[in-house]
Amino acid sequence: MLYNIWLGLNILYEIVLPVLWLVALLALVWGATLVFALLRAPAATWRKTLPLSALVGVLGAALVFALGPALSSSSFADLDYWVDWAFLVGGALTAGLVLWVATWPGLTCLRKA
Amino acid sequence: MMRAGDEGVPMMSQGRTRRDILKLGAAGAALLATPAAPAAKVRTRAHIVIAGSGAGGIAVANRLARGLEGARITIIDGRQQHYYQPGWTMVAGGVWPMERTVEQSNARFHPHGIEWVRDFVAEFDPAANTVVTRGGQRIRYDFLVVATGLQLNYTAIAGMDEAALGQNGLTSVYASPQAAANTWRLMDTFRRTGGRAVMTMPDTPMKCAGAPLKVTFLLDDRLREAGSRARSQVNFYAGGNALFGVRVYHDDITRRFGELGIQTQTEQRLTGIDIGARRATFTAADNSRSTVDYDFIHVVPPMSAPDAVRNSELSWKEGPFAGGGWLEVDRETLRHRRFPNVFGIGDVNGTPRGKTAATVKGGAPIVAENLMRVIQDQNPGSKFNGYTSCPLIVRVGSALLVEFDHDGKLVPSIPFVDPLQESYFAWVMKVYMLKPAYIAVLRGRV
Repeated sequence: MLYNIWLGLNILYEIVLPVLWLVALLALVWGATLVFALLRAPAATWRKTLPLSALVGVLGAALVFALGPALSSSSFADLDYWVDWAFLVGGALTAGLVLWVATWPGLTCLRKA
Repeated sequence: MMRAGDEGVPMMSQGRTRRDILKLGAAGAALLATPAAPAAKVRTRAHIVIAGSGAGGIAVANRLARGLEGARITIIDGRQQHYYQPGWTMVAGGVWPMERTVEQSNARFHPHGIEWVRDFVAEFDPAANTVVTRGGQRIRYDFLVVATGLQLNYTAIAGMDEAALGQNGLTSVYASPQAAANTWRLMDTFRRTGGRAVMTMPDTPMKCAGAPLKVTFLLDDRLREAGSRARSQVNFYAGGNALFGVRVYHDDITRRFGELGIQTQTEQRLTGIDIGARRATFTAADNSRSTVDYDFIHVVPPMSAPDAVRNSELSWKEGPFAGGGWLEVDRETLRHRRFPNVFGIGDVNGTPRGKTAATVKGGAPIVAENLMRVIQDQNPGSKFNGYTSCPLIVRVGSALLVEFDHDGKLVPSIPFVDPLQESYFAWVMKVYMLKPAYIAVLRGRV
């Protein structure tokens, strides 16, 4: 099990490596946005932007779910095993969660402005 | 008598004795539960020669470079590029572009501080601890890792011309990335009209034994996609008596081929071909011959160890692996059975079943660890179970996760995934995750 986790981390690392600069840049922008929003926006503004950022996350998850098979040279017809559905739903939820977390500080900053 | 620090005899770094290291090892056992845990380096002045820089050679080189201090490591290989060969079936099936399987510089994966001799080994002389390159350079070693890969014997098929691949319906995914790309080009042309496809598989051990099956599944799928399957006949000729070396998969693939209408014949070796006339000759187990006309053919040549290994003292001299001249290694320790300073990794090994990148993933740590133990005058302790994996594409968008050991026992690495269940999940793994995993193997991290 530990080996599989280690292997998974290595796979993720190798996938990200070619675009590491972009990931780092986005992380930097997100971090700066987060700090700015934490310093400037009151809690009420965070609460107000929560539904919209959550909606972005839900839409992102729905998009990944709907387009995932086609974008990976497959189709829903090929999903005839519970592992496939769990994998697709898990991937969509992860993407939605990342989008939600990524957009919430930015939307809060925009609301403040 | 040789002492620690003499050539080929290890010392431990930072003045530690071997006993200290063992104590450290015991005390740090819990920490070592994580695969990335750092270990004390073994100091040695040994010269280690690695013949071949495919997946096996590079994976072992990286592990040795990390585990040894002061060693001289020489890689001998004349090829500048590195090929991601597990991707070639996807190139042949029109899923990937060829470029995705070619790294322009093999050195990108080499560890720092090694010597790279840009030549091929022409001769092994294990009695004299020497290899000779094609260019005539004699290189002595203290320890040798044979990682030459195998040899595609297209010339064993009468009338076969490797240079003619990509013309007249003649394809072979194994020959090169260009040949894989040409396979797709001809497959794409063939599916527009349909016709008779002849798919072959030799009776010798071969690398990625699933590749001939994958190309067949992909061809069938592409014909259906184009609407020309009904106008086509797909015949699969296996040189041996099975479609796959593991019984449960042989049965499963036979069933799948039957359901797809793929005609299967066993014990039919491709022994001749008339490229211009598009006619293949097969020889049965009783030496009777038959000829078949085709519009599209996928040729999988007989395979053997490279001549340099085959003609040397390193090859098996008797038993089932002697015919192909495969490297005589112990299947568990991967150490040569007669030359204790020689190890083998990858396709060249005369061991049951495993000739895939996944075999390298399982074998490279064993070779590196055992070699380092031998450098320290210890017996090889790590044992390889023969882990082999072959994600078997059954159509574009779906695959089977095929994993087994030396004895053909299924060893699924994800226990809840049924190894006989085709899945989108396995497809995504094959298309998107296995190349990153492969690179991590080369780097010696997994």
